[in-house]
Amino acid sequence: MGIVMNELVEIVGLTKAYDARHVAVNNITLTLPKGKIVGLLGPNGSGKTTLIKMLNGLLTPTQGSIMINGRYVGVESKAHVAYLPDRTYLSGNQKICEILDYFVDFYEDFSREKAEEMLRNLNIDPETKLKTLSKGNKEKVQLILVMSRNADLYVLDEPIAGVDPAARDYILRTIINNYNPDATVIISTHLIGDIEQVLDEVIFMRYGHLVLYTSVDNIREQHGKSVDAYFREVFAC
Amino acid sequence: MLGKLWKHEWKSTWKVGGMLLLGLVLVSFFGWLSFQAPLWQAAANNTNYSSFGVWDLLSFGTLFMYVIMLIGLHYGIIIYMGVRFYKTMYTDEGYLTHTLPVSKHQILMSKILNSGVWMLLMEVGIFLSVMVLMLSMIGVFVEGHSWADLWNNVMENIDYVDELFMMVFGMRMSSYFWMLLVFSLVMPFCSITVLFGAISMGQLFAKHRVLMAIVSYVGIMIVANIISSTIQSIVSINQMSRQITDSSLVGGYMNVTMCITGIISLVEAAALYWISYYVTSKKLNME
Repeated sequence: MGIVMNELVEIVGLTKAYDARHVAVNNITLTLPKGKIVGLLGPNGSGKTTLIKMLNGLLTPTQGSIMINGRYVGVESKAHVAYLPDRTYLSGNQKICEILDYFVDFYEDFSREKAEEMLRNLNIDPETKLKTLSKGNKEKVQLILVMSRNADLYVLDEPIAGVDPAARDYILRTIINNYNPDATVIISTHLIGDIEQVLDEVIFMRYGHLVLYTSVDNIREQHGKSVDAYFREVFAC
Repeated sequence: MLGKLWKHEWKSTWKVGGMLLLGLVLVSFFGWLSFQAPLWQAAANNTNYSSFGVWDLLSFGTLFMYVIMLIGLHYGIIIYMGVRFYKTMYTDEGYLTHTLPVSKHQILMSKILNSGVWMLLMEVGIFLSVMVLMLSMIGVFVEGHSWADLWNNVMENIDYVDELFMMVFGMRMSSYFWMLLVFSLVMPFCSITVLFGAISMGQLFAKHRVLMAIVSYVGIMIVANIISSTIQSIVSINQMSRQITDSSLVGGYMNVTMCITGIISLVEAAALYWISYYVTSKKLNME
């Protein structure tokens, strides 16, 4: 019987220093399994976004390495990682249907039908130009694009920041209902209370260091607290 | 994937590029119109012209504007392509560009090919526009003769022109034409690669990346000009010392200038392409 490899993300000695005094990510070693929803938690400036950017090849590490499904970050890993950044990365001048064409052309795992169905559910016309949509709808369109992929790893940077509670519910529902169950989802946020119920595991980061990587059940059993309450205790000012 | 990238580059740029070309057509029309003023007719007939009027003033104004607009359109397309490169590579839109499952070579090549083709189209457009203006001017001065007569006249003297080319440039007219064509085809791609390289060089700085890109571009231009002028001077002095009385001196100088400019542009483009590749693959730091 062959050995089933369960590791999806392998990070070894990862460091990102912008200069000698500003080390955003400091010597992180971490292995994430397949099939989990992982919360990447930490206060502002803890290095969450830097780590996410390195996972997606948007930042070059100063030291260390990242492997995703056995491949270093590069062309092949990008074909299997669906990334939602903390900003609008689409051109406002494009119609949504043109953006769908773009995703169909470049991502083999992208389902146009799924995306169109989700757009229909939100009453968003694919012929609309992105710049005419509200901020909330723009974020929803980006999320729909990301979640319409059948990826191995979903990396969502602050997906519920800056949107109203109803939109938050929609976003979380979309994530839960659409991700590939064999895949891992990394969700970076500081709104822990809102996403706690969907998380399997959490990563706590502070000043670029990995403070804790454990399961949500473990926190509840060992500390008798919710993740939100435990986070407040660990990061108390 | 290169084909797909180029397709989407084209789809994103054809509207602005097309508008600039349409602008060129309009500018050319006004350039042609400027030679219809009475002043030019009088100049062609060699008659005294004392009633300088509004139409003549407009003609001069239009001609002046024609030149300004042509320069504006030439630089307009370069600036547009440069801004688009910066926006899609190093601002928020770069988050999508750099997470596509394609190689950095494919990304860079698609942008260079697309921008180079647009610059080439503008170059051809400007050439045709100048031809229209020249024909408009010739039309005024050779009134009474048919274009067929003029063409026949040129063809009858083609051997003489060819001899003249041989004497001045040291090569046949057709060879010179091919050399000029290759030069004109390659130059837009070299220029845009250098511009993209300078923009990428700006990314090596922690702050003021746009400013540093402009400084890098100016620096590259100065260095390339110094190298080009130095080599040109050495070759020219060498030529002058050997054939000071030869009538092919001017042509030889022009040939050397074109060759040196071409070689330096190719070397420069190769170096700046490598810098763009190095920055995007090894030093990418999206803010």
